[in-house]
This record gives sequence, C-alpha cells and structure tokens, in this order.
Amino acid sequence: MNNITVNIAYKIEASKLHKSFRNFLYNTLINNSSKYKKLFDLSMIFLVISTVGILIYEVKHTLPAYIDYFEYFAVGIFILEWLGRLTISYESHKQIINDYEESQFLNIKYRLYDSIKIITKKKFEYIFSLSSIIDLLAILPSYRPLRILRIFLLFRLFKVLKYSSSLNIFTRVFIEKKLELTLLLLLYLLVIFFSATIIYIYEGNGLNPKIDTFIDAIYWSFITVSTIGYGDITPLSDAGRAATIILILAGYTVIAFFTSIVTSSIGEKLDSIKQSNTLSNIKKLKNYILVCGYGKTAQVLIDNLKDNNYNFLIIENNQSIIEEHQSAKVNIIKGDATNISLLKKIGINKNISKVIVLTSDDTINLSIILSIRSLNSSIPIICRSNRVKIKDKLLIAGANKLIELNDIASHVALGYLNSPVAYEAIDDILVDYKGAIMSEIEIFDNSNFKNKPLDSIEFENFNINFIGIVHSTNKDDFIFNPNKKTTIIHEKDYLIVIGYEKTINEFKTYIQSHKVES
Amino acid sequence: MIIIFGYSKLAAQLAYRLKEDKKDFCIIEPEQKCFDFASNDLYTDNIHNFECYDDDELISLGLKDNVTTLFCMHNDFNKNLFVTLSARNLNKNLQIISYCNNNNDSKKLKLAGASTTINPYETAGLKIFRQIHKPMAVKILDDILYKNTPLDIQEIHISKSCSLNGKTFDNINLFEKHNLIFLGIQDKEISNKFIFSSRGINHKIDEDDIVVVLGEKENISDFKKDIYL
Repeated sequence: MNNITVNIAYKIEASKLHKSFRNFLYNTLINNSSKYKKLFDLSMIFLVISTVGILIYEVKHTLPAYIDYFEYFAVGIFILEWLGRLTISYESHKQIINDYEESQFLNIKYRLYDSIKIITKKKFEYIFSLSSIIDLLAILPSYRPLRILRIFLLFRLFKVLKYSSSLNIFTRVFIEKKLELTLLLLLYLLVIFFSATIIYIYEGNGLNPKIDTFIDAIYWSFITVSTIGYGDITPLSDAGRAATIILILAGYTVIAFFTSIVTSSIGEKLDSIKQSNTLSNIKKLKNYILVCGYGKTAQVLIDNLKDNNYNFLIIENNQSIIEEHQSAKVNIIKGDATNISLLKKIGINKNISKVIVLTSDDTINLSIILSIRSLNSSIPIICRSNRVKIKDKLLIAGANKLIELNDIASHVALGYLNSPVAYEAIDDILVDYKGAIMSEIEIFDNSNFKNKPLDSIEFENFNINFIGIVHSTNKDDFIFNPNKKTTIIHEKDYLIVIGYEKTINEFKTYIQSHKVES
Repeated sequence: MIIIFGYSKLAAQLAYRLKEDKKDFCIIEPEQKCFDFASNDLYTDNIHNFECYDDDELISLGLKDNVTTLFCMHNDFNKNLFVTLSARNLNKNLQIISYCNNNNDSKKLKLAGASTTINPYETAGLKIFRQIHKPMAVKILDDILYKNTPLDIQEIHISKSCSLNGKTFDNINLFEKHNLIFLGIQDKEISNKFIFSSRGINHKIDEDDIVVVLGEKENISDFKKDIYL
C-alpha cells in the first residue's frame, strides 16, 4: 500500500499533464497578474450578481424552469472553484515524496499514515479559512433540504468582495484608525444613551403615548442623531425638545468627525496605494532596469528607455520630483534606495536585469551599491561618480561601470574640437532615430553561415558598411574589417554593421533566414 | 589657440586633457576665487581674470584672428550666453562649444552663435542608455575614439588638388586598397548634414567636402598621401 501510494506520488510529480493543470488552476484562481484570473473574476462576479438578482425577482414572480438550471450551473461552477482552491491550497503528493525521501535518508520505515495526517490537517486548515467559508456559504443553501437557509444566498455577495482588491484599502483604513473610530463610536453611543434617558425620564411616564419602553426612547434617539428623523416619534415636552436640539448638534459633530477621519486616512493612504499599485505592476514585468535617483541625467536615460520600450522602475526620495513625473506614465516609487528591505520588495533578485545609480551624492551612491550587493552579487550596476577621488571606492563597493559627467562631457568637447564632422556622425550612429545606426547582428546556432568564411555572406547586395566581427570566444576583442576569405564565422559571433534601419533590417532578415533545415 | 571661458569642474577636466594633448590654450575666469583655483592647478600659465563685458578683452587674446576654438564652460548660463554672442560677433568662423544643462538653454546658445552645445547630463544619460541598448557598438566606438587603439575615425577635407575631387562613390577603390571603411561625407553644396555611404546614393565628391573614414591610423595616413599625390 505504502509503495503504491509513493509511486503514484512520484508519477504525479513527473507528470506534465498534472503540472499544466496546476498552472492552469494557479493562473485562473490565484495569480493576480494573469489575464485568465481577471476573466475568471469577472465571470464569477456576473454569476453571483445574476443569481442574487434571480433570488430577488423570485419573490413576486414565478420563474421558468430553465432558470433553475442556471442556478445549478452557477452552483456547479462555485463547487468547481472551491474544489480547485482546495486542490491548489496544498500539494499532497509533494508531502508524501518529502516524507518518503526523509525516511529513506534517515533510514527509518516510511509511514503513510503520518503524511496523510499532515495533509488532512493542511486541507482542513484551508476548509475553515475565511475565504473557504465564504465560498461554502455561497454553495450550501442551494442544497434542497437546506432551502430554508435561502437567505444565506446573500452571502454570495461577499464573494464579490473577494474578487475585488481595492476594497482591501477600505478595510485597511478601518483597521488602522481603530482607536479613533472606537472612541467616536463610544461617544456616539453615549450621546444616544444620554438623550434616550432624558426623553424617557420626561416623556416615558405617559406624557408621550409613543414612548412606552426605553427601547422606544433609544430608537427615537438613534433616528434623530443620525439626522434621518422619520418623525414617527416626536418630543412633546420642552425638556424633550431641548434634548433633541443637543442630540442633533451632537449628531452632526459625530458625522463630521467620522467623515474627516475616514477621508484623511484614505488621503494618507493614497500615496502608499499608488506605491503598491506600482509595485504590483512591477512584479508583472520581467527584465526591468532599476534607476535610483531621478535627476537630469536620469531624465535623458528614461526618455530613451521609454522610446525603445524598455521596462524600468525609478526609486526617488524627493516627493516633489515624484509628483512632477507621476502623470508621465513612468513607474516611479518614493523610497530610499539604500534601504535593503525596499530593494527586496521590488525583487532585486528576480526581475531586475540592471541597476543604474544616478544620485548626485557619491556617499549615497556608495550606500546604494553596497545595499544591492548585499542582496545580489552578480547584477550589473552602472553608477554615476561625481568626484574623481571617490571612483576607486565605488568600484570596490561593487559598481561594474562608472559614469563621470565631467569626464564624458570633456571627452565629447574634445571630440568636437578635433573632428567635428566625424564626431557628429558617430553621435548620430549611436542615437538610433537620427538615420544611420550601428547594429550588432548575432549568428544563431542554426545559422547556415556557421563555420563558413565571411565571404559566404553577400555583403555587397546590401547598402551597409560591415565594420568588423566580435567572436564569441573573446567578446572583448573586436576584429576590424577582417579578411573575408580567411575569417570563419562561429555561432554566437556578432557582426558589427553600420547602415540605415531599413537596410540593416533587410540584412538581418537575410542572415537569419539562412538557417539549417532541421 | 584655444580659449576656455570659465573655470568650472568641467573646464578643469578639459584643461587637463588639452594639456595632455599638448594643445595651446588659455583660460579666462571672471571670479577671483575660481581664478585662484585655475592658477593653482597650473594646467597653463596663460590665465586671465577678465569679466569679458568688454570686447577688447577678447580681442586682446586674439579672438578675431588667432583663436580657432572657444569653450564657454562657465557655470553661469547667462555669462556663457553673453560671451558666446560677443565672440560670434567678433569672429564668424570661430568654433564655439558652450556648456548648458538643459535643452532650452541649448537652443538659446545656438541662437547666440554656438557651433555646438554640451550638456553633461544629456551626454551621460545617453551614454548609459547606449550602454544598455547596444553595449558592443558603444564599446567599439569608445575604443576607437578614446582608447589608444590602432583604429581611428578621421575626417579628410577635400581640396582642389585631391584625387578624389570630382569622383563618385562607386568609382573609388582606394578605400578597399587601404583597408579603410568609407563612412560618409559632409557635402557643403547640399547641406551641412552628414550623409552616410550606406544610404546607397551614388554621390559626387567635390571640393570643400569632408570625407569621413574608419580604419587603422597607419592606413589612413597612407590613404591621405595617396589622394594628395
């Protein structure tokens, strides 16, 4: 029995079908960034609202039979959803495999019973979680013998909350302002109780036939303080009217306080809401570039990155700079890039391909580099250095490349001094949109040109300048204008060419279409 | 002769490089404090404490005839603008390279007569972008431009006696002979814009055009000798 179960567990682990099924479940039920989940959530919201709508319609109308089938269908989907969530909540077969391997390692007898105990415990943990209970409440009242509990069908509406993340913000506001709101509630209750007592003492003795019990007094007090004032119970004595005036004034005050607490709290939250939106957007991106500091240099960099559809995230500490750029559709978060926990949060180990550190303060740059290096030792870091003397320290800290503003600018100035025409031409080459571009064309594994001499490529048919080749064996060594008869092309070599976008694309297509048929 | 106006950090770097290249240059610095810095750094003995409000000061340094290039590197944009305008008025053929830190200032400087403007923030931002976008191309061009490699990009002014004068691109096999790559040409007749050879237009080379070639330094000088036989 043990062996059979363990074997099945291993088979499941190895099964591609199982893996893709799990992925499918994960993407429809859990993964917020998946488009399936969005579609699924929308259809669930539709099902909930339509079935509740039917419940309301049913009160005064008799429904055709097929509506029942619709209800069954909806419940069927709800059940499937719940089962799916139950399945994905814990990977049972992995538990079995782990336990089995551990017992093998420790050389003790494997007991299936132990694994099952853990699995059952985990599954029950899920079943009794809030989210699962809401799901179950949406399903169970449909069961015929439980039809009496039909009113619980309204609990389906809670399911809608589950599918909408923005409601979390409100819950968070209430949780954070718990103290203020509790005080306010106490004040509210006190005022109600106070006025109810006054009116009961003065009018409950038979003066006012509508105030018979203390509950009547409380009800009147509540209706008045909330400024609803049905008018079914009205005070008749002077004392009662005086109490009403106080009550109304107090009621306004309480409502005003309540409103201001909630709005100011939401206002405070707004920045962090935006931030968390940016963060969750960022989590969906792959291979993005992290830019620390948003100054003039960063602006030029970001404009170019944007034009060329790179993904990037900016961390900036200065609120006014952030506000200036927030509308410009850039991912920007407020924060201190030296903060290790922030760097962790944005996924420095997972999604980031490069880091550019651009603040104007070298000590901050140094600290940022060290924070990044403490989390990730291999990610490429390009750093701005503002003083010549600090250069070495930034390199020791772990920067891969330094950018010195004055150094670069003085080089450029000299370039213009010595050969202005050539210099401008090169500048044009590097900035893509101004005509001619310099391009690196990779030779793929399946290329037909692999292991052939350079002259097998018909350069002369294209209006491009072939400048040279970079061999995959030594990427630092650029061979200028090599001999086309004797130079052999290898896979992953790069051909460096200058030309116009159109001709380069033609050439690229030509190179890439010559591949070995497999 | 080259003049650097304003002794900013950028100017100091520039002066250092000019000294390395053994170029003849002088520095003008209106403020006493920076003037002292400049004197301490000793990149040149030729430092003047001029306000430059008076054209005579510039003329006394030979701006009208002796000076080929003026770098306006002062941190104060308005001072740069003023000197750029004064210098352009004095000498129409002068190369003026001015410092600015944003695009609007760059436009104003160009209106005032600057041949080129340099915005360190922009150049650095572009440099980083290219580093990300085309690392290999940047490295190759950087090596050619700044490192001491045998490769060089040079511009060759075509004079009347040059053998290229009057020829079209297709007619020239001299480039191949010297293992050079012909990048393109700046044609005075058509526009001041640079035309790349890969444009595919069969262009006629005339007097006063500037031809830009890429290749090994030795080959370029051989090529020059060849065309000026």
